[in-house]
Amino acid sequence: MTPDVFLTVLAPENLAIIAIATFYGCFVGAVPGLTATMAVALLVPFTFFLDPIPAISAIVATTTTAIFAGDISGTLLRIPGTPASAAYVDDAHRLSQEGHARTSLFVSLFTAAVGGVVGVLILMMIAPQLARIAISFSSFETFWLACLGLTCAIFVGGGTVPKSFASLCIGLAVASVGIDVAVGHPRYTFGVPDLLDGISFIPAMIGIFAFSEVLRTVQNLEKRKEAVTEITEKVGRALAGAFRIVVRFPGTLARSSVLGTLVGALPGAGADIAAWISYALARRFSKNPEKFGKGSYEGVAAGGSSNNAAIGGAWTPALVFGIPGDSVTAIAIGVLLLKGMTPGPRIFVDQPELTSALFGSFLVANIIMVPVGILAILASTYILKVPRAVMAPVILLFSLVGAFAIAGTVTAVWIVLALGLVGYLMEQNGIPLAPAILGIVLGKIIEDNFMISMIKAQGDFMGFFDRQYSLVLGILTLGLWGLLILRTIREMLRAGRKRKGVSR
Amino acid sequence: MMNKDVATGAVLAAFGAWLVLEARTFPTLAGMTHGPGLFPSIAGSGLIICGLLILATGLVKRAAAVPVAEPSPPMSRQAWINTGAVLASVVFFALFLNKLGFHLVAFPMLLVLLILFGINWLKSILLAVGVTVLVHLIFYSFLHVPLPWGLLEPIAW
Repeated sequence: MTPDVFLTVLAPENLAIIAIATFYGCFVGAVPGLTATMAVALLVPFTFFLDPIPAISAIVATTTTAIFAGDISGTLLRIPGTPASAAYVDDAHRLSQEGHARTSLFVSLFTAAVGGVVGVLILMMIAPQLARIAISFSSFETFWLACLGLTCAIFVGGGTVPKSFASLCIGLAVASVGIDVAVGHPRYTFGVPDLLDGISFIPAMIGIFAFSEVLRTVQNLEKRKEAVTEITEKVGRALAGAFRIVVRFPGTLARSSVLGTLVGALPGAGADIAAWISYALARRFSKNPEKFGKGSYEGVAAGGSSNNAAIGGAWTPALVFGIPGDSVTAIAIGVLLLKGMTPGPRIFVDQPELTSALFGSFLVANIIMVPVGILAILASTYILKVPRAVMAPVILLFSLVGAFAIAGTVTAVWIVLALGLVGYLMEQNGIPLAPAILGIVLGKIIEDNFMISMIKAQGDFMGFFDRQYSLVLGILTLGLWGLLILRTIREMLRAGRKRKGVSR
Repeated sequence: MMNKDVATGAVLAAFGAWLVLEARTFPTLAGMTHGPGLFPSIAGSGLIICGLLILATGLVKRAAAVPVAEPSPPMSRQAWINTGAVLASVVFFALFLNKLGFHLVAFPMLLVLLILFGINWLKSILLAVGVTVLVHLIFYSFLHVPLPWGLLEPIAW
């Protein structure tokens, strides 16, 4: 890292922005129902007015702390604050009932920082290497990579194959709104001039993640029955205890962090899936697997480190290929595009200071998270008392004004409404959102590169297999499609078998 | 019991069919078989296939009376009212933002929602004023977003 990158990252404004973002992330993450993605979607209108490096720093810091803070309500209320804390919520809550609420939260915090740092270190080592390969990619390879990303999203998105695929198609349909690349024909614009440019990405994200969340919140406004666990633990003892516990599981921490980074790098799989897998694996390798689910610090450490490591992992494909690893990086790519930067291998050559600054901000965010996290843990009972009846209207206003601020027209507000409803209905009917998000981001990339490649190859589809890398990527993609078809058939057969079992 | 998958599948398939029909009216690239309609057609066909598959699984499950794990309990009357109010307030915001101006739209919207959600009058008024001013300060004063003044244009600052 060069000195001026240090200066950019450690500049007072940048540090202040990271600190504010950490507090914000802590708050949103700790409130049940408000996800890290929603935190970022609401943050974007602000980042839009910042320079690229502080903008990315703010996004990174918000995600990192929001994912950690999800443990706060998980531990005290047994309601995961973000889906990423769901895997080990039973353990954390049991520990707090036994009077170790603060110890458990400090374990979450420390392991989150460790996981986060490991994730960034892996990102720093691998991303430039991958970029060196990716720099020779042409439109053929980009096309296949984007296809691969979408296929991956269907595989890991949760939900049945038809539903995940339907989600992807919805995303592609949204992406195809606007003037097409090849001949400039307006598609699905209903004569609205603002739609000629396509559906603006940020209002779409605000709708899908923030507005749909507001709808869910207002349907469930009754006072919660679950009481917040009383905290009587001494802070000093809890800190020391947590530190000893973290030191006791170096193997679990290392394994979960690396695994979390890898899972995070898969398009469509984010922090929540990373936490589930690491938790299951930690149980398999643990000396006392019987404690898992009944208050195991090891389980908390495994999940807590891997979901934060996944955040760093998700940036790898986003930076190197322009293919987001999760919904947060999908939004981040949207922000970079708005700022006139196209994520991809060229960014490592053309703007090395940007990537270095990103890595630096990641590290700083993970460090600042520790003191802010301690404050949040001490204030946790107050954070959880803010009534949802107040939060819902405020979030609603911020999402509407945010969308308007980005696009400058009221059309953005209508987009928030329409896509928010679509996102809400999809979730209600068991259709995963991740494939749709990737479809919206990658739809244009796929179509542009397909059209360019087709024109290059003069309409010969075999041109997609002519080059070395594109051949490998193409075969990989087609292989995955085969597997998907097999899985669909298996799902259908299983449904049929269930029917026989019942009628008999 | 009503199976959600049947309705979901039908809606998805219908939406896909509409995409494909619309895409057929798009022009094609000179000398090529594909054009702007290719990708919407792929997405549409995908939706038709998936919609039918989801519909079929739904029908099979219904025939077998497999208990469907409902993700959420049926909505209460209050939940419906709240949802309707949120949707209506967004429509109100979008329709009147430019005519009435940001402040005259945001304040009543917040006030009505807060009172409906059970916050008492005094708190609601204070919160609605406070948040409107806060958003004004952040977006208009600090970020220089041109929030419309509408009717309040004469006293704009």
